[in-house]
Amino acid sequence: MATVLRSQCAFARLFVGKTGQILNNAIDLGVKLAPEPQSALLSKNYSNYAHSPFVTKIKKEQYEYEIVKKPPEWTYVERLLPFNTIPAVTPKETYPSGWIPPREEAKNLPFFLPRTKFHDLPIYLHVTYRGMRKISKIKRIEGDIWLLNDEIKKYLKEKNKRYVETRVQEVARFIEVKGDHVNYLIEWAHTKGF
Amino acid sequence: MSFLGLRVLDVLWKPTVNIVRHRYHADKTRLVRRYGYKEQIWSGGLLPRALGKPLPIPEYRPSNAWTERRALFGQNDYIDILGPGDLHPVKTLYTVPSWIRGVSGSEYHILLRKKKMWSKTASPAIRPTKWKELQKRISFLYRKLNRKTKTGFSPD
Amino acid sequence: MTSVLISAIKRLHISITPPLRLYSSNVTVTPANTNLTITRKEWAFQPQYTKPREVWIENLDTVEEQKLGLFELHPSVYAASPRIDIMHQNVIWQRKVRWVSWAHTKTRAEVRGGGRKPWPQKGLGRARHGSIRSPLFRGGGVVHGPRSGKSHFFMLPFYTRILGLTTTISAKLAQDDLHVVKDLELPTDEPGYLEELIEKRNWGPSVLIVDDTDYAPRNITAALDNLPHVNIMPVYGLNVYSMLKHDTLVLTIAAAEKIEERILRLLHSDTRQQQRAFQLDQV
Repeated sequence: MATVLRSQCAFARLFVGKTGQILNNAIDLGVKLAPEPQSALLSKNYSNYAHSPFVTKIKKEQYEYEIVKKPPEWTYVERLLPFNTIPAVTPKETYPSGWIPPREEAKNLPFFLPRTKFHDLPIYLHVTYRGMRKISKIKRIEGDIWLLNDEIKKYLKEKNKRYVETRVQEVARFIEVKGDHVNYLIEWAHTKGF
Repeated sequence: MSFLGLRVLDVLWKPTVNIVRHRYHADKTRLVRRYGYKEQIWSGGLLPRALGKPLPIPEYRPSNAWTERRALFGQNDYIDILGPGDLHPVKTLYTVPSWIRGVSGSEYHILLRKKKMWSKTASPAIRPTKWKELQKRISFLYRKLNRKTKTGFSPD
Repeated sequence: MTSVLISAIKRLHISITPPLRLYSSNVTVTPANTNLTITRKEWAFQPQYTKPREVWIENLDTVEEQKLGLFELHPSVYAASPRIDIMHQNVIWQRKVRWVSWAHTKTRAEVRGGGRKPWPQKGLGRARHGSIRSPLFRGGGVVHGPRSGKSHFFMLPFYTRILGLTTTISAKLAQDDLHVVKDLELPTDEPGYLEELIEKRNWGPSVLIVDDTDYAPRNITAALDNLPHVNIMPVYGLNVYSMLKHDTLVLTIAAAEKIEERILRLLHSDTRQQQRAFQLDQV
């Protein structure tokens, strides 16, 4: 009983406001209010908290600050900012990771294999049917895709000493090679300068 | 007397008889059944429906493909690519109510979300029957999905 | 760095042979004999193998077409392979993403009434029934009917959507349905002028005009108010469905460059954030 009275009392304090006389004796107030119908305010629901009357608008700018532009210092900040786009590779003599840069003369060939945005070759291995089917895929081929197909077929036949099946998708610009030949294909692409 | 006349005719007139050995199908006349009966039903094929009430075919009213809604359908669907990048296209689906905007799921999922979002509003108090039916449907679907549906093998 | 130098030298060699060609960042050359402006562009991500696409810059201030200059477009955006399957996926996505089916039937629990047993179980010679709202009854509930609020929402993968834009815009360009205009200034606000222009230039029954700003010049907006089949959109409103619905796509130079810049940046940046599976609380 006591808890009920206390809660009613708290409610009364909240909503009676200035007009109602708040008594120090909380229990008395609760008893007084008890027979009154529970006002609509109790069951009033707001669509969310922000729409309720308890929320007051906070000013947008709370803190005063001034903007100072110091270009030499800003360069140190820029170093910490994330890259907007993936940066170009800085040319070196050798790369410790074994990455090989593309060569310029590759652009004179009748076909072309551009690097991805991460500067890798777009040659992938797709493993399906729980490892039962392996397909090597060369993507984003530009230029004469059929000539490229002939060349890789020849190259893979020499390397594997057997015929290798391929599938050319001319519109989607990719070639699928049956079997795991990714390392040979990457080797071939590097010899061509892609 | 007539008998005598016939006898005379028999004697005097000897008709020549040609024996028809073949009767070709093309020469046959159509066998008329029920001679003299007048057919009331038209059997000469389809007729235009000129007489009486026409069949209730609705009038063809082609929809205007260039109303503003249809002409600009799909606008802002690529706003995350072509825009400044801080707005997702789902946020621009203003015509879809908020409790189902960008939601993909079964009826049960959608009802749970609807219940969660509507419970904060005045809806349960204003539309108690609707609210009760929503609760009933959720409990029905819960029992159906959890106790009466076989789930089959797990994917792994 | 060396590759950049080599490419620069190569371009210099090419630039000597034709007299009009001049490669530097956005240099416009105005030859003496004609008024053509020829723009060669220096993108942040140079095309590697495929040559940039060239388009005429046209005008809108006269009915007759005037070629104001030549303009280059990046092949990664404007010379993509025509993937009809990707276009189809994009259109289906655009139709489904906002599609909510509101068809609704009531179950036997929701149809009003039906609480009382209609007649006794035994003794009448009739079939046994417990409710007049059973699905067997006329006016009864519906079993497995459509329930309201059926969503068809799904999110197409990020790069499928980018590829949808590039492949559609490239197909438009390859079919001569893409025109680049200098600006959208019209001499009058009469819709008849624009209709005549479209008729004269053979732009087909419907035209989509794309500008890079939200605010178009007054004359063109006033003219388009009475032309339902000619529509104007900002760059961020451009989409595959509208490009395919309208016969001709008219871009301003600024819009063409903005589309190019946005898509090129996404093609060369880390987009793991955008590629993640869609979650409801992310928007």
